[in-house]
Amino acid sequence: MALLEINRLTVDFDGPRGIRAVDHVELSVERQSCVAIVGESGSGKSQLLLACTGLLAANGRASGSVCFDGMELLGAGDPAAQIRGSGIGFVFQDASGSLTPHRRIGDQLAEAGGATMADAERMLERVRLPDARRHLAEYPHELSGGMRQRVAIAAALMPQPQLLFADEPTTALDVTVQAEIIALLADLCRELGMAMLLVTHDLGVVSSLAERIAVMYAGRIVESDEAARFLAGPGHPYSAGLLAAVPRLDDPPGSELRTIAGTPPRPGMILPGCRFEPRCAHAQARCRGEDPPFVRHGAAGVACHFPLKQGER
Amino acid sequence: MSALLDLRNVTVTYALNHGPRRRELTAVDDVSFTLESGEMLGLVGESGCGKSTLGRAILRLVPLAAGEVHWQGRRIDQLGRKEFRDLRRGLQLVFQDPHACLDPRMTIIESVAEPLRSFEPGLSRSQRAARATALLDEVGLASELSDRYPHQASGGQLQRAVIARALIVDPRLVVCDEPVSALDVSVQGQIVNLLARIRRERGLASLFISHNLAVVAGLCERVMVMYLGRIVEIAPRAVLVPAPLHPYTRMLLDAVPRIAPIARRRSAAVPPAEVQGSAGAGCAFAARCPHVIAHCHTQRPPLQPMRGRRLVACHRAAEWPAGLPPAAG
Repeated sequence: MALLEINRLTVDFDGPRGIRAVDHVELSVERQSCVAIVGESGSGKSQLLLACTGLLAANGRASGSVCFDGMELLGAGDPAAQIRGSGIGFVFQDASGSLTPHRRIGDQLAEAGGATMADAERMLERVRLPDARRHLAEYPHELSGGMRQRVAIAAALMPQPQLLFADEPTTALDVTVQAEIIALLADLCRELGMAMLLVTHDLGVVSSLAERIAVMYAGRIVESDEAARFLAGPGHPYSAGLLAAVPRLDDPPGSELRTIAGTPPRPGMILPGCRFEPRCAHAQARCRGEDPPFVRHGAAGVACHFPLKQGER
Repeated sequence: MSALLDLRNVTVTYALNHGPRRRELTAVDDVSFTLESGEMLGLVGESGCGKSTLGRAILRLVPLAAGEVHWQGRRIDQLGRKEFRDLRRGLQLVFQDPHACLDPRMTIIESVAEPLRSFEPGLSRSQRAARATALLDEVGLASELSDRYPHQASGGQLQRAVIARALIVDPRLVVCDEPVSALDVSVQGQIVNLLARIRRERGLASLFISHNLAVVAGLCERVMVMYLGRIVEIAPRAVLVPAPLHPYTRMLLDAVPRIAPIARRRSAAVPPAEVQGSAGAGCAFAARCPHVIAHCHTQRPPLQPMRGRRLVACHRAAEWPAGLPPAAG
């Protein structure tokens, strides 16, 4: 059985116009594996992580099922509270937001049950923070962005979680620092036997970390596959467009970047047919009227009436 | 013929604190370069390297501590307010966050037409609107959006409006400061392609500032690399990408993510980046450089011409004439 199994997870937000941020998502994360969810802003990828750990905003409601290590996390009385931190750790985009500004780094790290200052120092060394002992007595503002993200990762790892949720962990960092943090996360997962569910908009980050990739669009998972096969040629036109839109150094100079026409739908806007249809170059009449179901073929799955075949990708 | 824009030894400092123990941060440190008419010049570097400050210094949005800015052969950094204002329409700026650039209480078309009120006061309201409509069409913004307010449009649509507003006064140079960084991946390419097309059609010069070397390399013929306030390498894209001469350029190139399944990345072999103040007496990059020698800590390397129309500030650049190879994977 997978470490994390998400079934028909739906997240609704109440308001003058109710918004469905996540719509019947199915996803599983095996032990010691890294799964990446790729999507643009507003696709619902962050809300998916928050819903799993019971951290939705007050007007948000999650339904469906999220099963972590055999335990149901959705339901009355916040059952996810038992596994937050100790079972599932969280690393966010903005490291300074997850550290308390007026407490020393050592004190914050040793907060986890029974941890000592020596444990905190070992963890800082583990996340390759140079001069770990000196930093124990410092405050978060005394560190650079990359170092703060290392400390935030250390803080998430202190209770030894089995699964790490990483929400855009490198987006706020400089490019050369990004590469360092990606390498660090990959090493830590291997060393600690930890699984990771990574959320990002950056396919470059994904390709160097994930074994599985799931693409999210307008609240739905539109494609999911093993990373190698996905990167060689995805089946959903949106995935193919995203992959083609990444600027590459070996593009000939002056060549037009490949783009996806139009813009993502506003959150909560529901179309009768396929959500990607207005932007899709391959759309046909059927796509407008009929929402394509998520169809599995072995390890892969795609929600498209006319998935791209190998030659067209 | 003189260059369109010519910066000579430009230095910009910020006061870190005031009073008797006044300290200064040198954000831009002795920077010189030229930009030809119609050229698209890329400027890359990480946050805090001074690239935005340099862009602002050109438009006199921050004062110079030293150096000169020449525009079409004329020195402009010492001009009076009024004289500079007359030139200012030739120099426009596009920022990263389009939401912050547009007045939330003005419709998109009003914002786009706004610069005409000060630069062409003779135009009537309807003439201004006609010019704005033509430009919104040129940047590909649907006409039904023109009467909307900024909160009713997406980031990509707003960035088109910001570009239209910069173009409405028919500038010769547009400084683009991270114009696509705040946008969604699928929309970034649309804006990059738009900028490339406008520049081609209008023969517009541009300084394109970005942290993303892959975007800059695709768009610009010449690329400048900046580190801690200093230019470390200026080279045509065609030689910079395959054969960088400065170790920092190499590091930036290595950091561009490649789309390949589980490409094993080298674990941080270089010391992690740290926020530093101004560089000391030696090379700004010495603390992170894998090729550092004792000399680098004490002697500041000058920006020197090398083969292939390039300038490099590295003591050891002559040792690798064929360029630095990628770090072992």
